[in-house]
Amino acid sequence: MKKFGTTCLTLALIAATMSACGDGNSGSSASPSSIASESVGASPSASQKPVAFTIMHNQGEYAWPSYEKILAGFNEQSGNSAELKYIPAQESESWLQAQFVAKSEPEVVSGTTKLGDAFKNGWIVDLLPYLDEVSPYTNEPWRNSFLPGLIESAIDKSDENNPHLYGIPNQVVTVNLYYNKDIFDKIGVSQPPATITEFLDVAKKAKDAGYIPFSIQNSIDWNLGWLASDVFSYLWKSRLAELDTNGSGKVELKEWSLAVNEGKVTKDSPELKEYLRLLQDLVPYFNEGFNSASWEFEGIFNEGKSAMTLNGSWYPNQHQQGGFPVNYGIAPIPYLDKAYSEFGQDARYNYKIGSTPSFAVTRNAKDNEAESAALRFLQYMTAPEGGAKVLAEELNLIPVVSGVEVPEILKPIMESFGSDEKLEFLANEFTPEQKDRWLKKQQEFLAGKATAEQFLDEYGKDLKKFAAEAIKNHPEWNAK
Amino acid sequence: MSKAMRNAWIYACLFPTFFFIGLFLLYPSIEAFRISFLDWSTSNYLNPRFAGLDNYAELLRDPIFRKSFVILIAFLLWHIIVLQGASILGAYLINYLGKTGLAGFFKVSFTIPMVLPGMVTTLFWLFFYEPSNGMLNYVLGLLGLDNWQRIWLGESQLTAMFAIMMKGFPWVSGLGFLIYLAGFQNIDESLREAARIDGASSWKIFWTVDLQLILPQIRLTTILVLIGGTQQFADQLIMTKGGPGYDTTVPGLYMYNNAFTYGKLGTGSAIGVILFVITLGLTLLNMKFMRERG
Repeated sequence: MKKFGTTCLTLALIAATMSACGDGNSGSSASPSSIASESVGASPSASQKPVAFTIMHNQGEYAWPSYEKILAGFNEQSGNSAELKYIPAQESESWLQAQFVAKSEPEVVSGTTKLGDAFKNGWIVDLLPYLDEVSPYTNEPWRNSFLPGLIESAIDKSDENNPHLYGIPNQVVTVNLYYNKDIFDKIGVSQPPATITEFLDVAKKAKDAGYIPFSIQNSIDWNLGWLASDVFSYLWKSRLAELDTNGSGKVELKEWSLAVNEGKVTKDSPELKEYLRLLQDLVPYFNEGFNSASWEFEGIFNEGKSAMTLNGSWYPNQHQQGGFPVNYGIAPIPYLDKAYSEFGQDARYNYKIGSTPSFAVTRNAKDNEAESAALRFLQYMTAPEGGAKVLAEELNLIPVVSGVEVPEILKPIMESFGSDEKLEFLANEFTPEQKDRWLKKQQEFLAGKATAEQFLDEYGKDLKKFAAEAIKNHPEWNAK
Repeated sequence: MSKAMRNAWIYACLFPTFFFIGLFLLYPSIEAFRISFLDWSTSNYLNPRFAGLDNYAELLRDPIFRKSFVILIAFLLWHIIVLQGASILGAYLINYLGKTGLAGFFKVSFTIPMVLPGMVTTLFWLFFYEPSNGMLNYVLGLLGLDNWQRIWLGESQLTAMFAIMMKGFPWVSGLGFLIYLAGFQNIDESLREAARIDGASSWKIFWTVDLQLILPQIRLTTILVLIGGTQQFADQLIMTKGGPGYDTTVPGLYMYNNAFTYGKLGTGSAIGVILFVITLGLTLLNMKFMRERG
């Protein structure tokens, strides 16, 4: 009897364990192609049943109250029961990948740069068809809410006959120069540097006065990568006509890969050598240990120890939330000027307001009958009287839609917007592996352990291999 | 009723254990072996292609992968010689204290750190080594040793590896310590007494009596260190991300980066299979060696 009881108990435990392994979010009976190529389903008005779903985000703790407020407003207005799930930014990419593979991703996700791959794998939905739907929050087509040109810049047009929108941006993220006004007063600088030449001059003055001229982190590629992105736009601009084969005004990944194949971009390209020369000139003004530094670079600036730093347009909110003592100002990133480089310009480019897809709707939204609710949430988040207003007022984030008043501190950023197309250098990130190798070799170069020639030799060694891999991974390019 | 029938309930109780071992350990291992022969990444996630031995050939040509083994050997030697040595010494000294209150105090003190999650300890050491506000550089500054201050985790391969190796100082904790302590406690005192009567010094008694009699424990912990050390990469991932450059990248971390950062699932699996083969080989070699010595 005792044995029988034990056996029954064991079997009961097994059954309980196996049932717990099952998840309401897992499994998808629809084929990836059907999910990826067809519209998701009924318009919001057709499916009004309240649903529970999850929205994943990677915005830091400072943003949680505002996101909760947006969520509460949405739930109240729509009757749905959405909830938020926070994943730290540095982990969100790998976390999402694991969730997609396991078919357990939330219905709305953000925090990945690989939405293109996710769409190809049938994990997320094409939102382009929904832009023309009338938003219940503006009573006009959703597309019309966005700032001019903004949503168009988020559309993937690498296959010109079949564009896709992988996600909706919810903020215009820019990177700017943040400078310590008190240190500038002490070193006798009245205006933030507008050019690289002026930047180096100010940095020298700050260093001579005993301050850290420029605090950065280089353990990940965000920080120095922002500066590089801006500099590369100037370095390669003169070759735009040669590289931009489809006349779009910018050089897309496909065009960079073709340029590498045709030998137009090599390790001997003078633009790359000039980039390394600039980095070498900047190194003496970085904070100690920048190569292994993480977010402490911000702390150095917050404590008033560094004269300048680069940070995102989210910083004003962080400053407000944290009550940091630093008296700061915002200015555009210093541009590459002719006095410093032959590739420089006489004036700063004022880039178009651009955006990248951010919040996406996943296949699980369809499987869980939450696709309408998920889309409704995105519409609410980008509504001028809804989420966009909360993000601007409470988080000092630049809105993606018109009709929202921008806080005073952000106006210098808004004033830097224009109609110039930004030229992104992408021939060092054909694959995540190449991007990681570029970062690590750059770290070695900046630490003085590799010369510019060694850096470029390493870059050139597998350049064509990575370009070929990018072409192989994008058959829709029809490129060879 | 046959013996098998009488014992049927035993098999029934054991079945879940073996089922889950098969499902969560054996099956993923076999699947990893299969994936290692595929050209499979997140870019062609739905269309993996059979690649034969291409992944392995690419890895053998990869200088970063080859270098990672040199770094791994350095970490393993450190673990086996220094960390195990410290545990043996600590266990021996505590055993020497006998059944005193002080011995009990030390036993508890050295065991308590085991209950802390490993990640907590790693994050503490990450802060400890932070160049601007970390405890180590701060203390060095207080002691007037400013020229000893370093960017511990990023200045050079030497400082980064040293920093990771020093994590957990004085290393007298953990499973190895408990195993050695139990081993020393089980040694018959009469053996030591006999050696003392024969005029052996304390060192000679330790070397020829105590150490010889805990060889089975040393074999066990060496195997555990080799198995765990070959696969582990958490410290490198959290503290240095394998840097500066690739200077602290061990094969386990390279496997993780290939699979989850680069999205190269086939290559990541191939590294996993290689690590498995190496671990198995080391284990068999060590067991053979210890059997002969024993």
